[in-house]
Amino acid sequence: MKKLRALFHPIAIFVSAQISWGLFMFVWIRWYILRSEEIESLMKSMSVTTQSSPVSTVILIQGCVLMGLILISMYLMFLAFRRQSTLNKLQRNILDSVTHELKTPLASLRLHTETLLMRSLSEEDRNRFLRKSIHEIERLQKLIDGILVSARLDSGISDSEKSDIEILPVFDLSWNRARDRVGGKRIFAMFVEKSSPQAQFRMNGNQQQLEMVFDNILDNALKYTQEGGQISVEVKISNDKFLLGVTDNGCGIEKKDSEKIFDKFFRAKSQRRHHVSGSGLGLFVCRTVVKNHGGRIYATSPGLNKGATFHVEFKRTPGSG
Amino acid sequence: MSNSKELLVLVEDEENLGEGLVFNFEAEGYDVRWFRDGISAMDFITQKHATIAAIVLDLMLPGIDGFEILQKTRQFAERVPIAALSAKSLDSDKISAFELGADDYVTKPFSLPELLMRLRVLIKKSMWYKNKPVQERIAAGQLFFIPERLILENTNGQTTRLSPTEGLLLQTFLDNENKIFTRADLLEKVWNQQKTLQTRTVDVFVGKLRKLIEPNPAKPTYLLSQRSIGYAYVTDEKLRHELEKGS
Repeated sequence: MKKLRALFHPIAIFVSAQISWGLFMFVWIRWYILRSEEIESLMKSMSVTTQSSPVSTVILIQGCVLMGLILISMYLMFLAFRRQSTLNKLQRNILDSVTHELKTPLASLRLHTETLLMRSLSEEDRNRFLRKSIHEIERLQKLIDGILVSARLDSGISDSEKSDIEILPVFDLSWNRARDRVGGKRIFAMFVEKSSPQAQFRMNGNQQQLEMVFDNILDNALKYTQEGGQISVEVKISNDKFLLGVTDNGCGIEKKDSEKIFDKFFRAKSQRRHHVSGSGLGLFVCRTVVKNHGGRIYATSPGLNKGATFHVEFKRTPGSG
Repeated sequence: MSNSKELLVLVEDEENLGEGLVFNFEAEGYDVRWFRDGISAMDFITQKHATIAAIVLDLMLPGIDGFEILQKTRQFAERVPIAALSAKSLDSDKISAFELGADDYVTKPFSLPELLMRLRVLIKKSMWYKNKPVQERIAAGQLFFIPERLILENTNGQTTRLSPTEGLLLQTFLDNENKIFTRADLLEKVWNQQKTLQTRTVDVFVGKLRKLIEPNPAKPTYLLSQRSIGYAYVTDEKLRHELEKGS
């Protein structure tokens, strides 16, 4: 049954169509050559001299061109099919990840609320469960915000009022939030080019949106590192730009995925295998916001399980140092 | 509330959910071991499966996922009841979990009292075969079922082990030869009528039993179905003929 289904797989059909096409051309051209040789030898034996018929050559060329067109249209149809099946897969990813991301905090919220109702708890336990509930509400809120923001960015509606801001304090906010969240479970290190006075880190931007970018990048770094993992950030000035690199020693990125991870709802294979939770929206939001700010974001990684660095570049406010 | 200190293994990578579950399981009087990833859980289960009363298993885990744990655990520990916990609520997900050996499937978000009740039922049910008289052998198709050891034995003495749920279902059929059970009957008798379980669950388990006791599972001769009603373990030729004609 499985073998039968594999026979009808579009790639199998495409390959066999190519083989039949090739065979057909081979047989046809061979037939043409043999026939011409036959006619030639017949003519020779009858000692008739004539130029080879141009009509049959024209037919041969016409046939080849038409077959070529069929090949091209078949290839285009195949490409369209591939695109469609990628879209379908994407849609399944969206359903999978959003389902998991929405239901997990809900489950936790329900569990804590029911515990509060069912059990007589000490003041300390009660507060602990309430704090956890608030944390889950924040998580849900963040996810819903993420979905809304990405939808808004996607449709081109941007309410980003930009102003002249200092970027380091904005990054510090996200940095401290990340540290607070995981406590001592990760090692954090920050390197800021000492020679650069604060004034050099001014840019024209929307603070809220930039915070979201840094939150998402740091969130990723936390998610893809194990307990005890390292997260470091380096801030540098280069001519009219400043560069920010967040490096972790987590599960890394495959080379072929380093661009795709910024696509909406993209989830790397390794990520799905390890069941790292995520909506597939974070990096998409990052790229869109950074682009809207005239900056650049990209990821580099020496390979799977070898960590990764996320680089963000922004233009500095002219004349800021 | 349970008085004995039964050992419960929780495999859950979500910190908040895991902590809340451990708190509640302990409040119910269980001894709880909590694992946040599949690899360490698998290590513990491999070593200590004989002492575990039940496993509550999240299916989406880092490292080895829940489906793999189910499959591996069932290779050496058929009797430990396993309740799968998952945000996935599609029928196909439930069925693949049952096929790999889960005894129950709870979707997130779940109700705490219901989860606790299901666990109690699961543990109680896993003990049923322990009260069986020693070495009772019941004919099951052309094989013999030994409830006390939860195994099927063929005439050459080769054995296959069953999970408690499979065993209880088989026992229910064997105790009531030639009686047609509806799927709802079986859900009540074997699964203690858990409303969220669906009748497809029964089909999955009957399919598993057929693979074990039927000479040709595609053309069953013992575990027969009456279309859109249910199943019966048939030894009576007349009933067999009737059901085979109807199917």
